Amino acid sequence: MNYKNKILVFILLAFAVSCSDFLEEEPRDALSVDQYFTEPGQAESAVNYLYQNGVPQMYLNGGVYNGTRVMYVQYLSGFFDNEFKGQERQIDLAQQLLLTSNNVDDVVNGIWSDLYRGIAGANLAIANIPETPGLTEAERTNLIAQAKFFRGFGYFYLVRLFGDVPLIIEPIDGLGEINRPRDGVAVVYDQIVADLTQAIAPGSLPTGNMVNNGYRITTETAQMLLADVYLTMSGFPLQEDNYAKAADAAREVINSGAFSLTPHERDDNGNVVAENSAYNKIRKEQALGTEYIYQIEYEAGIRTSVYPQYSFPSSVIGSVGSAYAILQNAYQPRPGLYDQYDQDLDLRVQNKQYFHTTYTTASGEVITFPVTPYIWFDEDVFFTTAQSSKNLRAYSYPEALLVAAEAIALSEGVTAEAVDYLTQVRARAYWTTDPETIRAQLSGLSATAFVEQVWLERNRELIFDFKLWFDMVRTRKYPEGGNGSANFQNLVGSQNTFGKTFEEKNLLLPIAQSELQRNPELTQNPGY
Amino acid sequence: MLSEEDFLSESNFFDRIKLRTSYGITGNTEIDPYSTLATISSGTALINGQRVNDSFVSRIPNPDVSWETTTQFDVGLEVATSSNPRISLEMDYYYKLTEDLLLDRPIPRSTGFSTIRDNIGSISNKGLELAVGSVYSTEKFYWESKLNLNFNENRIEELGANNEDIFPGPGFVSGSNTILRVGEPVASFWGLQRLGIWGTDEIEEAAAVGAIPGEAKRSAEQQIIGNGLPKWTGSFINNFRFGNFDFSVDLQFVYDVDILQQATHSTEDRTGIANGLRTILTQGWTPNNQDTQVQQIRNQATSGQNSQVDSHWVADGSYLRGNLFTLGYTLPTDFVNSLGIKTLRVYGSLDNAFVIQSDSFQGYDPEGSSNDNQFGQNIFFFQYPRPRTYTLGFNFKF
Repeated sequence: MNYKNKILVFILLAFAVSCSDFLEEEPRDALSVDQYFTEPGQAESAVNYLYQNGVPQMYLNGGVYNGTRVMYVQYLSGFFDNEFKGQERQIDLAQQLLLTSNNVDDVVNGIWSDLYRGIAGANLAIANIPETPGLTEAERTNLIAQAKFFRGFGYFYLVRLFGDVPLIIEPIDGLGEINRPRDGVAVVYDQIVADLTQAIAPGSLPTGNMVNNGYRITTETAQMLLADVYLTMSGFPLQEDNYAKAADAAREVINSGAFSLTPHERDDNGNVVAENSAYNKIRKEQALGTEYIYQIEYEAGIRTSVYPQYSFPSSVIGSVGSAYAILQNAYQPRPGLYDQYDQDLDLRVQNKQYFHTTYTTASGEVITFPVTPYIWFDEDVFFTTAQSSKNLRAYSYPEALLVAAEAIALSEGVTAEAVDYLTQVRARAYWTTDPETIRAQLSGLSATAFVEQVWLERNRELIFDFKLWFDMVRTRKYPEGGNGSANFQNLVGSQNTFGKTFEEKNLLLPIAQSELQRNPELTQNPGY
Repeated sequence: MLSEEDFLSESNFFDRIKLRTSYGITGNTEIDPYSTLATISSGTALINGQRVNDSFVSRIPNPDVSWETTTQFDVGLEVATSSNPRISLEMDYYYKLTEDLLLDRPIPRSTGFSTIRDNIGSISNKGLELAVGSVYSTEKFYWESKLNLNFNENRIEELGANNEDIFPGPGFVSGSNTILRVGEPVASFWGLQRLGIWGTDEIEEAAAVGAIPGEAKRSAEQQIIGNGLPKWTGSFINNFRFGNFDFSVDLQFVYDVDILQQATHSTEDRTGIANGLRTILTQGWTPNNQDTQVQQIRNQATSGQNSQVDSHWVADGSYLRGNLFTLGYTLPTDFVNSLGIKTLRVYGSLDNAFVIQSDSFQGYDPEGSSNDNQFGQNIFFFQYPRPRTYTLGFNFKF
């Protein structure tokens, strides 16, 4: 080829090369997604994001007046009150069963978008970690399992609150993919089960409790969530019988040996030392590794708990001398719930266990006030720094026992094992009652009657784990409380403690009007 | 220049008549670099008692963003007479349409994001500007007067892909206090309508929404309850000189605008927690005073509180301000020259002398905003008033 031809080839080549690549920008002071996931630390940091976005925000997000999002969900039951509902209209509307897609747009939006942001973070991690260089196979599997746990958890919250929701499991990276229609509840649950099944696969996650695992989730955390998912799938609206699977998953947690019920401290005569009961240990300790299965972490100076602000009513702010500027009783149980505790036999309801109604000032004056959560009273910082490091439990060992008891009763019958699990939880509270008496009372019950006893115990034991509304929706039962028990009647048609009657539509939240405007593919829930 | 046309050039009365018009398009690309790319944003999370790195995608990429354009049309007339007093008039009509607004467009939040930087919607501004001036001067007396009047109408013409509402904040009590909605001006206040106070003969109706007599009766749904952008603004300035005295008056006014008084929450609706306005005593609901807009005094600790962003918080934001008064006296030249000074003027001025405002406005000064939200104009939360300044001064020339 002579030089003229060479030049010609060069010129032709120059034309053949498109110049659009030349215009592509590669930012230098920021990393684009294409440039990310090139080293192990980046994969880990994408998973770290999930520990405080998405589901954790349900527990974290909220102010002193409105309460956290998990509390908002419980306001829907009508069993909780908030002193500042007069300015937090969304709470009043929930209690009055007057929600519309407009009047609570902000709240339902917040819940929806936080959960989906967590899901998007999980999708990003799940899509990119398989290709991230430098990770060992074990690290890769572990990170993906954590991301799938949080994605499943996010959809579990969404599907229970909103019903059908868009199921998005890939990162969205263009405007063409943003308008997604709703997928059916069954499809969403299938994905949740698939994600959690991968999370519990042997070798994916470390076993044991979260505290021993550096406050990261373990196989047992995922098993606990899966047990709750199977139990919920077995109830409304899906009614797919997964009780046996729920029992198996809960048994995995129970038989792991990583957890136990925190015992009460007892004096020489065998009596419970009230201020060191199991419930006060929960209140005082930053974390109870063997009791908490999934917890939200707090640490002074990094992220402090807002919950101590909810441990006194606002009226006593001048008397108790708190370091918190504002106090409020944002999670006050209504009588219909409070009366489900046996006022004589149940330790949880005694003053300064789960709740309190008095405070003795420095000068010895005793102030009395309505029932207020005591479990969040972090006395180490309440009067000094207002920087609380007490972790919040979201799943606890009593719940594993109660899920197992219910699921076994409905798959295998009221076996000695099922009775034992419920007895363990109840006996801790009814410490003056002989456990064998409790066991005998429960053993003779029909499956239906036994399961109602489990529900009753869930209402009481798990009150601070924010389960009640979800239980009411999955069982479609309304626990009419009184005299240390509850009578379970059909939820639809029952009146809440504010005298408002539940309708079918109240079982789901409305989709926010603004989200409907943004996404023409979405439809509203029936009745809204 | 009409005044130089043949048919007017003979006229002695008009010094100047000018018709003018302009039309232009300007572009704007004032957005941050890379704001159309999907970059990774890093932060920290709490795990195991320590801060650890976390990362997430900051946005969905949008490679198709282009610049926003503003098309402006203006037609104006200038007239000035050659008489004494000399009268001048300037009048302008303008229409300004900003299209392809570079803003964050709302997208379904199921994507994990709430907005994407995009060219969304358009906003129009049209208005009239009028300036009338006169100058009267004799050997001993000089009077210059200028009246400025501006009228502006702002309207959102399009938003996003589906004309969806945007709630840009600022948020207070429960949610965004403003809304962006097609057909409405920006800075529209979003809240409930206060229909009165539940009366003793409405116990059942009140109970249906969880209220009792003495509490505010409000609409079921939120709506636009006011707007923080004034329709009319203007000023009236006069300068006088009489012999060695000079005097100037500067008045400023705003008309047809609303103020959202967030402080009503703390001072009226939330009785018992903070100091209140006198209206809770003079106008508060009692069984004998039911025809009022002010709720009953409640003990917050036992009866809770009742406070929502509603139309009762909205006040007429019109005002007339005595912006600046100045009185000066220039000392006789002969006298000051003997002191080795060329001229000496002594003056006193009063800045922000008075404000005349509507009775419904409960603050000190109806000008300003208590937040830095770009759509939060005229939303007040214990807004500091402008200070009144007295000045005594001397001007020396050597």
